[in-house]
Amino acid sequence: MTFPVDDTHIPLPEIAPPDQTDHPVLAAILTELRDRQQDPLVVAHYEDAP
Amino acid sequence: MTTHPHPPWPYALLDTTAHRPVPFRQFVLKVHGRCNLDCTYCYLYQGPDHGWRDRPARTPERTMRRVADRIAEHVRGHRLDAIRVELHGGEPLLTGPDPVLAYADAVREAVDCRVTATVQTNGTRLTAGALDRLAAAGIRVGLSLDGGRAAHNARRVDHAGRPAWPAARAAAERLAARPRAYAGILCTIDLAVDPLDVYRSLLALRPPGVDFLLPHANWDRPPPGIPGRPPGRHRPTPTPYGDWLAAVFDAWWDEGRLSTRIRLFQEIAGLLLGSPSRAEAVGLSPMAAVVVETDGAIEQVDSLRSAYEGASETGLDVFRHSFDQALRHPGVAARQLGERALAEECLGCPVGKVCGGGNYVHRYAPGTGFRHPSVYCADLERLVRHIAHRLQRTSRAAR
Ligand code: SF4
Repeated sequence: MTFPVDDTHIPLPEIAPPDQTDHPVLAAILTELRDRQQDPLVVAHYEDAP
Repeated sequence: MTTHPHPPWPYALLDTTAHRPVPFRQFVLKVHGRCNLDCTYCYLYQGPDHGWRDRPARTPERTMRRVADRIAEHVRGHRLDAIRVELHGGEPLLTGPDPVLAYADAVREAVDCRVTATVQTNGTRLTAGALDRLAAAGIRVGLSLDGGRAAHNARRVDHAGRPAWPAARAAAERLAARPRAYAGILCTIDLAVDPLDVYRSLLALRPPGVDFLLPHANWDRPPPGIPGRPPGRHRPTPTPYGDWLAAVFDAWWDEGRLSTRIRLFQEIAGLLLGSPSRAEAVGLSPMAAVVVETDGAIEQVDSLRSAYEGASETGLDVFRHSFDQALRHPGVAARQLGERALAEECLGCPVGKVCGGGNYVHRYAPGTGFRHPSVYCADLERLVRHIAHRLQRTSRAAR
């Protein structure tokens, strides 16, 4: 399955958060992102903690 | 205790007075400095840093109280309304739950804010009685496992070579029956095992969240499956870790329900949708974690020890220094700079704002330091592009 990355110059797509979705995983992500908007500053946490 | 000089970036080159520090919000407190396991890949006990040998095996109560007072000072000074406390080791439950409970109590009594306390354990000492007491005290439990079957955990053995899996599986079963106390599973990737087998076997343990961690590595010590070479943005190149993670992502994304949270994937998706990250693995958010060792030394995250001996040291301790002083340490400050800490390659990279150069620890190269792309550079780009592609298609369909 390993293959080289060959599109490394192409910009990432602009993806706007959809207003609603039937996709359960995307829906959960959108809910969490809306919660995150309450944080005045989002900080990064240590990865060796769940 | 430092035996090796720190590298030029960030130690000699960064002016730490030129940025506004972000207060710590996550305190990683070492309860025990030893572990009952001897995992063959452990960066702490099998890596280049042997500093743990010089420290007390267990944090004395006097040190716990001093740490709690220092945290309270930090919380007051910065008017924090919530902090996270991670009870860590070694194995924090090595002698049972009492020291963990005492440390969490000391912090909660001292501070005037919300405290989310979590103990991160290998599970082998998580008896039913220990879990009852932790749960009653509102301490969540996170498990470290390499998968949900014995074969996945073959590298997790005790000092006599006996497998940790039977006791760890019993712990996972106990936790599945106590979802409020179950924080999740941390799983270090092993390319030798099938990603879908690992993912599905972990799901069977019913964790509320999983994170897949890249093995700690750098340009001097590349991870298994990636050739040694000078730091840089090498393309084209094989991406075994990106492929492994992309396979798990597809299974997770296509499940038809949210089976569990997967931090790395959620953070990458969030970044692609324009939100900042809460994880150090990706993105450009300021790092808000600090470690206190069993002797009261204030340190940067343990994973830095995989780079060189003394890499996590700051020379500060809770008896003589405040956490505000630690915020001015070059190693701490460098992790709060966002784009300003990135290498040229990352600044010009089309996935740079999402990848963020990857985990800081994985950027290290001897002689220069931490201003390089990640040693997982191509794997990260592969995964970011894969998630972008899937997310774009799903988002389009949602409109
Ligand atoms: S941002 Fe990530 S993918 Fe881009 S060059 Fe840096 S490490 Fe590599």
